[in-house]
Amino acid sequence: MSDQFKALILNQDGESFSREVKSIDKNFLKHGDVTVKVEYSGLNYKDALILKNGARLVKEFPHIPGIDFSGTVEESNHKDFKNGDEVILTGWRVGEIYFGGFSQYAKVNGDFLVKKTKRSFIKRVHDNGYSWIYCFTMFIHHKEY
Amino acid sequence: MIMGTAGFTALQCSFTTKSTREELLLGEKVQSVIVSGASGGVGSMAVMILNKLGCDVTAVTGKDSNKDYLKSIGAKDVLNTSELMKDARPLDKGLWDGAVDTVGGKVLENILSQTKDAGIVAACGNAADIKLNTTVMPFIIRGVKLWGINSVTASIKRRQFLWNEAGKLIDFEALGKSVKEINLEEVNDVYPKMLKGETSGRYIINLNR
Repeated sequence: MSDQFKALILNQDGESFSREVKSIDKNFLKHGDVTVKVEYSGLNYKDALILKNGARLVKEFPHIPGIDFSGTVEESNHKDFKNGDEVILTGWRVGEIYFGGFSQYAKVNGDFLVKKTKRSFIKRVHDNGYSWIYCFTMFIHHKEY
Repeated sequence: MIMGTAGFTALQCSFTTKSTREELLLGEKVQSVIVSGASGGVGSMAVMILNKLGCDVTAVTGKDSNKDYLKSIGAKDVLNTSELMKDARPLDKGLWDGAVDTVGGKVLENILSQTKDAGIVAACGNAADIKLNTTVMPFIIRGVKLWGINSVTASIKRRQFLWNEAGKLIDFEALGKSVKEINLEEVNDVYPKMLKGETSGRYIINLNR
């Protein structure tokens, strides 16, 4: 994992809040036993409320918001996960009381993670007067979760 | 992250409305369902999922311009939210076998009064109001069930089951059209607009951009 990476840091100074994209290192991540290289994170209404002023959900600053994300496990001390596992996280108060997904790396409790699942779909291809029907089974992509 | 927390919540609500009554409570088939806040992330995915599960979905939205989009993702009928903003009677004409409510308030009050015998109303949002002013009548006369959905603490077992179902129930191509991909730096421009209700569709952050 790269030593320095980007994250959106929410900070509070009295009544005022700041949100800055900063370069941080992995020692900044303080919770959990699984480090995930984040590919995508959603910008939800709840995230917007948290970005505004913590929404009384964030207890400590500085904070990394982001209540959901998908990505790939990079380091794990959890029995169910190993390097390279593709995972998704929603809920469990990540992005509220724990650091969340608005960061190129996130460290979370492995009990919160779900492993990537599959999807099947049928595609019809017309080629030179012939019509082929393909059935694909593939993993759902990070972006799609 | 096209689905994300919203998609997971929609999966939970849809399975509660349909499968919980049919399989867990061994009730009758759930055919006609209503989804409120259908233009939102949770609502639009619930429309899609319930349609795929075989229901006739009535989508409720305040945005008439979204009618064609909602029909394209699986709504059979589209109602304007104003039709569910009247003062609810204790019991109204029963119209729905089940419901997914993402907005709360008066809309949920009316849905409860219009739900048929033993229907499940899955409630997961407060976009309209956190208050719920209802009577016991739908519950004690028709056995209507108001089922709260919280996506934060759902068990891992439930999550694994529902994410496995997602692949069969979601049309990612159709959903992808309403998604905007941004980078971390752009978050600060977008979130205030989202709070003012000026955004539509889903925003996802690509951390590699």
